Amino acid sequence: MGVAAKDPESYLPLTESVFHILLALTDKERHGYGIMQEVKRRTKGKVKLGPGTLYGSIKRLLEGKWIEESTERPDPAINDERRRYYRLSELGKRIAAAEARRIVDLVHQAREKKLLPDEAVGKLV
Amino acid sequence: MNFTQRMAFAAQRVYGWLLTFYPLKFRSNYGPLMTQVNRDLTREAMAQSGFLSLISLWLETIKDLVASIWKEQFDAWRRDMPPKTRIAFLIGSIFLGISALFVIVNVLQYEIGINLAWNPFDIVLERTKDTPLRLVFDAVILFGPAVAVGLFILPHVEIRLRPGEDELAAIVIHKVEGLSLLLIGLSVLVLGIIGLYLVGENLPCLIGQQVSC
Repeated sequence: MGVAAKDPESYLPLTESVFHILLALTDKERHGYGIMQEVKRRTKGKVKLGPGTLYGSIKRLLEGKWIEESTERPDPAINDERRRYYRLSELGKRIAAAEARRIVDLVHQAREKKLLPDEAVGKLV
Repeated sequence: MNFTQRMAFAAQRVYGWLLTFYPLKFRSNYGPLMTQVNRDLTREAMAQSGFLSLISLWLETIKDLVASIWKEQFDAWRRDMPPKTRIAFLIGSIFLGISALFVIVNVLQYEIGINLAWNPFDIVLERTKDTPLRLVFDAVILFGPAVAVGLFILPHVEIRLRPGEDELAAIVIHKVEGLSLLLIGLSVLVLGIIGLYLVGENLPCLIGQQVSC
């Protein structure tokens, strides 16, 4: 997860938890609990990140500069000094996009092999 | 404060204690944040269906702790540990692993009576019979857990030479970390089982109740 290799493709495939964290941070800055809630909501409870898995991944994402710690608070009204907010870096965005393209490509291949009905794939692409 | 609230409070304290099993650096960076998230999750569980949600949360929490503690410990071992400490942990783990496996295999085969298709220790005992290697094998099995305890303690011990002061030298034992504590505990357990096994086997001879020893 170093920063030397610039090609986002070289970081793929991502683990499920890492991709979900990156997705959760795509639209806005969130704190740890906010990321967990967003992942749970988006996957309808199928993916639940525990605090250990979440902060282990956050540690590695920060080290790789895929995400950054934000000093600004998205909503000053609910500002909580104890919480740390994270946002996606440019590198993180490129990697998340590359992973999404990889998944779409896999789905295309699955469609070619008639593993998925066409209408289900149409929604994805 | 009702029973569920008391349980929730106790669970949060236990969670804080379990965080000691993470590497120190990780714990100091993320421990307070993880505690905060655990508090949020507990509050959420309490708001749902109280005690049952709390049980469900704890099952998930244990799964998460087991998976992530080993991952972070391995990460710290690989990246943050000084080479000397890393070697001590590796050798200690090998010693403990061999002795623990010996105990497990023997208890399964000879105490519980499960017929194992392949017992690596029987093969080693057979092949090293009447050779110096047998002594090495016996020494590893008998003293392995004790050596492991020493090696797991070693990273926390500092020997300071203080010429010019009242004392010539000092041995300082730093706070033993969670993982070391767990491994020391396991080593002592294996050591105790081997000790009991040996005493149990040889007790009639030791107290002179058996003629053919």
